Amino acid sequence: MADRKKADEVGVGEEFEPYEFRVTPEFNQQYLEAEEDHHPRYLQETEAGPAIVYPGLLINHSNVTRSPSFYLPPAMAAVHAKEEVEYLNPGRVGKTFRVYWKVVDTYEKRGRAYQVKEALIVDEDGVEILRRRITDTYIAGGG
Amino acid sequence: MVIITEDIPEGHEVSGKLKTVTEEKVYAFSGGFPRGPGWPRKNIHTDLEFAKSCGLPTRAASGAMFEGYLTELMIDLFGESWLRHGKMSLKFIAIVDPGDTLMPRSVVHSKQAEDSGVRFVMEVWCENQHGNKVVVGTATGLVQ
Repeated sequence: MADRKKADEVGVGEEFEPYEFRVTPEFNQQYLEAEEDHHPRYLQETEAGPAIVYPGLLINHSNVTRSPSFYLPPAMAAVHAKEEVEYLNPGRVGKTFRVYWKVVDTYEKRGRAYQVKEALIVDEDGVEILRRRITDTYIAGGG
Repeated sequence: MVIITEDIPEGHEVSGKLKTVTEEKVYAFSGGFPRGPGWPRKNIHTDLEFAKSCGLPTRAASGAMFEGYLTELMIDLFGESWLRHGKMSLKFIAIVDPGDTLMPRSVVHSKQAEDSGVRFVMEVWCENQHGNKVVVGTATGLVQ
């Protein structure tokens, strides 16, 4: 583990390894339960295509902690501070999605370090689903 | 709830659906998929010891959970097309614990005519059962 770069040390211009996930109806359903949102658009196919992936699922699975290269030692965690999101197209159940992250800024404020990442979700057909600009800070216990 | 139309004035305020953040919902959101042995996965959202080891006073529900409440409100207001042009900018300003109830709210801040319709800028926030805001920001939506 000594050669793994800690997530908070990934600098401007560097990328986290992309992450892929497929959204099944069951996967989507778990998020609908979590969010108490059972609108038919998330459950039923329409003329426009298969059911829509719940947006909160896409947000949660485009957090940088999902990246295979994301690493923090024990007693450290990433905490979400700010977020800008732009929805481009609805994700569709049954599709596989790929998430890309690039660090675009780092700064310090009130003694705390922040890391800003741009994220993009693209589906298996190359359709861009959403873009995010995510600001995280990193916390550590044990003093 | 009134769907946003061109004639909705600045200052118009709307509330979404009251949400109760339960332990089960936090597990469903942040515990991983699928449910199985070892579920929920331990992280700052699902495990108190893990959260404390990282210096947090308590488990904190994921900000993405209540971002989802605001997204639901925007889709209710602007329709499904919000998923093709909607934008939201948020700051997470307070911890949300299991047991808290959150109300997503929004008020029309401004609106501007464009070639493709009227673009609304909305102030958005969620407030808890004590009336404290836990996330604040803005969202934009287009009425065509």
